[in-house]
Amino acid sequence: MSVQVLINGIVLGGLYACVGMGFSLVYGVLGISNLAHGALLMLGSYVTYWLFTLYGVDPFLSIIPAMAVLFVLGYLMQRLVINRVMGSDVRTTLILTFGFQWLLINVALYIFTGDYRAVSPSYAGEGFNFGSLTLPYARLAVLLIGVASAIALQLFTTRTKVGNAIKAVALNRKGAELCGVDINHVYAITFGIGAALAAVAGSAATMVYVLTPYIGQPLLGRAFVVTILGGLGNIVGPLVGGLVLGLAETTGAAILGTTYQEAISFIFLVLVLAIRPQGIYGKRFFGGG
Amino acid sequence: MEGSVNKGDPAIHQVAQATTPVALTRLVEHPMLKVGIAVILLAVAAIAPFGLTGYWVRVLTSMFMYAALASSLNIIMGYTGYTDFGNIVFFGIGAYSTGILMREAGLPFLLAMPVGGVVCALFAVVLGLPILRLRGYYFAIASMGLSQAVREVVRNMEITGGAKGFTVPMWRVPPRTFNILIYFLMFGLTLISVAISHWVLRSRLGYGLRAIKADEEGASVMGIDTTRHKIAAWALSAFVTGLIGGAYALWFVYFNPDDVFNILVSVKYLVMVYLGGIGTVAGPVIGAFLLEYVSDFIWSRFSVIHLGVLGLTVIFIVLFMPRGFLHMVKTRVRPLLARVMSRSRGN
Amino acid sequence: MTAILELREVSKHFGGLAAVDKVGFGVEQGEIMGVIGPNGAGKTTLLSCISRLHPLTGGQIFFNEKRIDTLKPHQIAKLGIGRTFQIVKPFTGMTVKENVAVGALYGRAGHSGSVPEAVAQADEVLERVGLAHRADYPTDEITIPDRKRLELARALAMDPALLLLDEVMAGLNPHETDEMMDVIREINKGGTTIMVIEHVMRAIMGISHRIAVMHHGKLIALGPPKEIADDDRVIEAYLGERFAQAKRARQVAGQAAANKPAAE
Repeated sequence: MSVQVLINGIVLGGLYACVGMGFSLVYGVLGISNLAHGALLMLGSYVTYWLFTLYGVDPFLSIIPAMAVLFVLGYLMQRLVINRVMGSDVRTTLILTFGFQWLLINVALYIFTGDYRAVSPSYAGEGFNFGSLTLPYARLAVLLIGVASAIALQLFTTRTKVGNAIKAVALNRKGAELCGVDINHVYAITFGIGAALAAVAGSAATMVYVLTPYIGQPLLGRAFVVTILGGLGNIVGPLVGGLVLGLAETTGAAILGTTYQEAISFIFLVLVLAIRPQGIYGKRFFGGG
Repeated sequence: MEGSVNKGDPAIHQVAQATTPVALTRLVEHPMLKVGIAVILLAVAAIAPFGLTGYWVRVLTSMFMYAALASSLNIIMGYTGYTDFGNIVFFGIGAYSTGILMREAGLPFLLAMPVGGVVCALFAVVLGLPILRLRGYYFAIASMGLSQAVREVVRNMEITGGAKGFTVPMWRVPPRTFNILIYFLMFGLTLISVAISHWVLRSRLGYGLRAIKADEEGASVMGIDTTRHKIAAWALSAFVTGLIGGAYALWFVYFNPDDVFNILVSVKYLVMVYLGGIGTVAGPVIGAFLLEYVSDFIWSRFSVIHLGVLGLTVIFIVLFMPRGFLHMVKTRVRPLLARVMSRSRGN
Repeated sequence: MTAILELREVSKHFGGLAAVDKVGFGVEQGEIMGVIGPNGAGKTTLLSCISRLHPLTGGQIFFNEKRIDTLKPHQIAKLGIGRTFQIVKPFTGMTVKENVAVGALYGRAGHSGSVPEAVAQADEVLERVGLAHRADYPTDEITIPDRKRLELARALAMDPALLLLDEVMAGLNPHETDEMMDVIREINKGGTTIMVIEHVMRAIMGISHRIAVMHHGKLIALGPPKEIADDDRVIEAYLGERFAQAKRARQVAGQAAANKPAAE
């Protein structure tokens, strides 16, 4: 197995971990599979793109504003719309978020058009070179962002008041309510954080992919795989899941050919679901055991 | 269909007699009304293509296609309660199977299409064993992943033409005739789909499926082999969807993996099932016609925001009509009608 | 009389907790076996083990001499074991009659299942339990006692050889309880063996041929109702102080009578 393939797999995994983290959080706490996650990611990408193109802001710095914008959007989405159907079954929220996906993508298409765009800062093509191996700076940075997000999220849920509230709601909604937690608010905050994390992934994605309103679509599938691989809604899970998936894809692509790369992620998804749906970690509740 | 075959006569007779609001109320409740309406609609549908422009024939054909798809999906989703996001995978397999059989094996269309359907059913049986063991949510995700996976695999296969697409041997008929024939093909498939849906509902299988939907554990304790039943439902749905895919292949002649494994289409007819009313026979058909009409209307006027409006429509439906159109009619419109009737009687 | 159901050293552990702990006894064909015990004694878990909703941690279960603890729930149902649930879960989205028809279509007789026949049988069963007047109602529009009857009707329609009843009388008033007792006796007379879990003492003492007592997952007593009512361990664990006092009072009175010069 070529070491380059391994390196590629790990850094790709870093991106996938980013993508999966927000998705996993929302699923773990709210029980929602947010099919609009890809679209939210895409919006984050566009924030980064415009900040870069209009004001020359480095993509990595624009993560913060992108997070802020998407947090607000996510909060509103949950508070105003999704909260109304929280009691009903899985189907309903799936379809609802799917509708949002269509809506958001179309808005982007309308405003930004479907033109291909790219974010290319000065260091775009460069990277570390060890002999015949290359490790692009941008991709390495994405991996680091993934790890940093995981750490940040972990600290948030364990150290801050809001974070603890989120954890409490995930473990026992009624109990949390009785303790005075405003469920609607917590739900909205959680979804907002999920959207913000999508923005992080979106910013990161601009360094790796060409930007169109559809940039989030193939990544949505990966988010599913990563979430399920990593086991339900814990924080280390998506990291592990992302790495495993990244390695699987690059390895598979090396063996079967690059056209199969997309196929691999979905085949992987089906296989994991068929064989071990509780994933590698298999915890039943977010943050719990 | 049961009931008299005199096209709508009893209903017309009763309308003539309905001089008082009381009689009108009784008319609305009469069981023969449903049959009467259905017969009238069928008659209209049968003569429609001869009087309409090519554009409208195509729109109606599309509506029938979606109605058939929605009805088929209803079997696994409405009756059994297993949300199948990736039902489109059978559409694609049906399209490619039919096309390949026609082009490579020289089979006539009317033979290739049902064989394509059988291929889909077998696919469902083989994959159903591992996948249908999963609970509802995981099945929904797995079905989505499956459709994407198959799409990618097909994109990489030689015999399907890969990403370049596939061309079905064309029928040498004048365009107008072709359109009308396709219209009746889709019309016929809708009838088949609805008939199968109707049959399932009243059969032993239907009872078992509905029990599974209500309480899977309780169903198994009563002697229902849940895995087998779920597979049967999925295979049936796969067969019908596969037939429709085959018909699509003939209709459009050329298609590629992104066309026939398009999950947006899958979700579209899933929403139609919702819109019309899950678990009923007529619901999906009504939902299909409604949504497809709206969709076409939007597309022709505002093609740029087409997706967005559909998205808003979906959101609206989920928020305000979660049990579907038919249910809303039953619970809101009928009592409203009754109240209006009684008030006018009282004056 | 042969044992239609036999449990040998049946155990079910959840993690570290032994919900059912090496329980072994036999149920005779044609009898009504009551099962009592404090909450948490493991009664419902035992039933769930028999109908194979839980895999056993240890032991074996035999039905008509055939081993069933390795079978799937639907296979056990087809062999002729029907059960009701403590928390009634009728099939929503289907009417009362349709619920019962499911039992007729899939139970022991169900393999021949034609729908009209099953519906006819459902009507019959509904008559027996007194639910015929609600046949076409959706399940969420009937009262709790009626839902209990529906649970029973559904299980009955399966034509079971062994019927497992889990607290069918909870929530019924005394009159309804009497009615239910009669229904159960009727069913038993028809040849069905019945195992009943119950908390309503009057009812279970009244209908059971034998009673099994469970406590902390173990079987602590087994015998006819009179014996059970008198058994020290049972009294201590379950029947409570009042019975214990009454028993002691009886014993004292009995001693006193024995100390008098005998009349014979």
